[in-house]
Amino acid sequence: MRRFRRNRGALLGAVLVALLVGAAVFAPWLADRGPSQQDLRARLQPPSLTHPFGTDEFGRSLYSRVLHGARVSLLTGLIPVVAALVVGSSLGLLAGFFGGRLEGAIMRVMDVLLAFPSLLLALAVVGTLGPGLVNAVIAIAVVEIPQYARLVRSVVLGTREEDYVQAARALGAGNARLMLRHVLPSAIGPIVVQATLGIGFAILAMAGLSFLGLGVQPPTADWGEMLARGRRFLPEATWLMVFPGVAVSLTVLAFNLLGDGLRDALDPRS
Amino acid sequence: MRRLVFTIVLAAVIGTGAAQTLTTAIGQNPPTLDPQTTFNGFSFHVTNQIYETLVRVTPDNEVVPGLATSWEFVEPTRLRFSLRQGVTFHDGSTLDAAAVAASLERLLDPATAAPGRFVVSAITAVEVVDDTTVDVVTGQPFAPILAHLAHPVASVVPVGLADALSRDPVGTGPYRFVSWVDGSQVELVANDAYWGGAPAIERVIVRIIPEVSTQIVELRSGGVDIIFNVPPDNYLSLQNDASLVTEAIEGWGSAHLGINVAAPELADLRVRQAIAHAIDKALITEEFLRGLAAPAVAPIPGTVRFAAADLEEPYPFDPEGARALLAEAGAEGLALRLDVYQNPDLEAVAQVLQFALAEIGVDLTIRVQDFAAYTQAIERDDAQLYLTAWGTVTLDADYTLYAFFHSSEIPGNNRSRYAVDAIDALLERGRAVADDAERLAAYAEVQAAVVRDLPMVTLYYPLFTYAKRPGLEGEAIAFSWINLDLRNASLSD
Repeated sequence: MRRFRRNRGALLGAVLVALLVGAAVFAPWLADRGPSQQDLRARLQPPSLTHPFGTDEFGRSLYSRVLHGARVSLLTGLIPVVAALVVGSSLGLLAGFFGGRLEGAIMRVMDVLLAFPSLLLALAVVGTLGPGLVNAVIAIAVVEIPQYARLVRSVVLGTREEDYVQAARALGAGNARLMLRHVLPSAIGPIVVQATLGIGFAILAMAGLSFLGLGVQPPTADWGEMLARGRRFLPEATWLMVFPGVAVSLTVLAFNLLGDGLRDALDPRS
Repeated sequence: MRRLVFTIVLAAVIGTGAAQTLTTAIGQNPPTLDPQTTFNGFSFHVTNQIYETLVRVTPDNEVVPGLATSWEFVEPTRLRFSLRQGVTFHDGSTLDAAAVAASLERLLDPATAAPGRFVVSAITAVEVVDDTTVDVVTGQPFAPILAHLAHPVASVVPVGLADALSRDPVGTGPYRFVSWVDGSQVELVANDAYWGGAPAIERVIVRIIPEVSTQIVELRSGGVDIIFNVPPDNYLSLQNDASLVTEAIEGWGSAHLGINVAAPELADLRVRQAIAHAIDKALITEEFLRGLAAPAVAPIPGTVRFAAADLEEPYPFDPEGARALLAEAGAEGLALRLDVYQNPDLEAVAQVLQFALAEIGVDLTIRVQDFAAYTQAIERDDAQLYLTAWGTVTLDADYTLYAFFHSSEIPGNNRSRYAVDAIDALLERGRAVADDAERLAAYAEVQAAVVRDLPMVTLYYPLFTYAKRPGLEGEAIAFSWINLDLRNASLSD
C-alpha cells in the first residue's frame, strides 16, 4: 500500500478513476439536462455558459452526454472484464491444476483466440451476433478470456507443486478445496493487475465498436458514438470530437496508470 | 524546318490549353457500369455519361429527343420512334432499330434479372419497322411510357457485348470509357464522334471518396471540381466560401416515414394519426435541414407531373392531440421499431423522430442495418415503421404512387401493405388513360386518400444540392446528381 502511494502516476490514475466513477454515478444530478433532450433550435452551439461543452447536431447538451457516456463506458469496461476474468481464470485453474489432455484442449482453444488481433476478433463476434450493446460486451469479454486463462494457468503450474499444497493434499483436502483455498489465492495479485489494465482496453474497444456503429444504439450517450457522429462536423464544430475524445483518452490513461501502479505495488520481487 | 518546329510547339500549346479535365466525387464505388443490371445511383452517375436513352428529360421536366428524334402514338398501345441517323457506339458499330430493339429486349428478358425491369415491364413487344424506326408496344395503354424510357435503366446498350459491359462499358454517349480502378476512380474521355459534337471538357475523372468531409477538403483544395448532395450543415459553410459556387435546386426526392398498416400495433388509424401529429415537419426542414428541404404533404414533390402540390396537411404538429388519440386508441406506452439503412443523414432523421415520438409517450427503437438487410426486414410482415429516401425518377406520378400504394406491389415496393380496391382502380386508370386532365383527377384522388389514411408520413422534399469550383460552367443537372449533363459544359482555371 505504501509503495502504491509513493507512485505518483498510480495515484493520479486512482484519482481520475474516482472522478470517473463519481461522474457516472451522479451524472443525472451533475448534468444540465437529459442526455437525449433535443432542441433543434439550438443545434451545433459552441461551448458557452449555457452549454458548457456546446451542443450537437440535435441540439443536445454535449456536457450531459459526455457525463452520461461515462456510465456506458464504465459498465462496458467492467462487465466484460469481470466476465472474462471469471471464465478465463476458471479455465486457467482447471488447465493448470489437472494438466494432461484437459490442459491441452483448453490452452489450444485459447491459443486460437489469441492468434487473432483482439479488436478484429471482437468485430467478428459482433458481426456474427449482430450490433448492440449486449453483443458488443460479449464480444469484448470473449476477446479477453485467454489472457486470464494463460495468466492463471502459469501461476497454478508453479504453485501446484509447492510444499504447502502437497501438505494440504496429504491431509485429505479434495481437488476443489485445493484449487480454491490453496492455489487460486496466489494468482489474485496478477489477476487484479491484468483486470485493471483490461478495463482500459475494454473501454477503448467499446468506443471503437460504437464508432463503427456496432455498439450502443441511439439515443444512448456513448463516447465512441459521439466521436463517430462528430466526425461529420469536424470543420464546423470541433468541440463535438474534442470533449468525448478527451474523455476516452483520460479514462484509458487512468486505468493504465492504476494498473501499472498496482503491478509495481503487488510485485513481490521489487 | 523552323516552321515545322513552330507549328508543333504551337499545336502542343493549344493542345494543352484545350485539354480540360473535370474531376467529380461520388461516395461509393459503382457496383457495375452496365446500366441495365443495376438500380444504383453511383452506377447511373457514370453510365449516364457513357450511354443514352431514346428520350431525355430536361431540368424543366420536358421530354426531348435523345437517340430518337421524334415519336408518336400510332395506336394507343403502340409508340413509334424515329431514330437519329448516323449514330455509332464507341466501338464503331451502328445504332439502328435492331440494336434498340435488342437492348430493350435484353432489359425485359427475365434471364437478365434486371433490378430496374419494372420500369419497362408494361412493354410487351419491341418491333423493328425499318432501319431507323422502332415500335414499342404495351399490352394496355400506358400513359407514362415516354417518361419511363428516359430512365437510365432504359439506356441503349450494344447487346452483343452483354456481360462485358459491366466492366468495360460501350455506349453512344458524349464520353467514352477509359479505365476503372475499383474504389478509387473511373476515367472517361470525350467521344469525338458524338452526334451532338464532342464535348469541350475532354476528360472526366469520377473519384470515389466516401467521406463527405474529405470530399469538401478536396473541393476546397482543387482536387475535385464538383461534389453532390452536400449535407445541409456543410452546405451552409460552403455557401459562405467565396471561392466556390453552390446550388440548391428542387429535385425529385422525397423522404418518407413508412407505416406498415397491417401490423397489429399500427392497424388503428388513430395510432397512425398520433404519429403524424407528433412530427413537426416545419421544425425539421427549417432547423434540422437548415431550409434545404421543403415540408411535405403529398407523397411526391411538386416537380413531378400530377403531384398534388397544394394538398392541405390533415394532421399538423399537435403533440397534445397526438397523446389524446393514443389514449383513445388504448395505445399508451406504445413501443415501436423503426427500420433504417446505413446512411448518416437518414439515421439522424431517425433520431429526430425518436425524440419527437418520445414526447408523445411512444418508445421508438431504431434498427440500423445495411441496405440489403433493411430491405429484407421491411418486407417481412412484422415490420412496423421504416424510413426511406425515394426519388420519382421518371418525374411522373405513376412511378411512385403505383409502386407505393397498389396492392399488387405488396411487399416489394408497397411496404406499407396498403390495399384499398378503390385506390387500385384509380392507379390503374391513371396509367391507362392518355388524357392529362383525367390522369390528374385520378392521381389527385389517390394522393388525398393516402395522406388521410397514412400508409406513410411524407416528411420533406430535400433540395438537390451541389458545390463546384467557379471554373466549371454550363453543366446542366436535371433534378438529381445522376443526371449530370456535361455536353455544353466548359472548364477554366
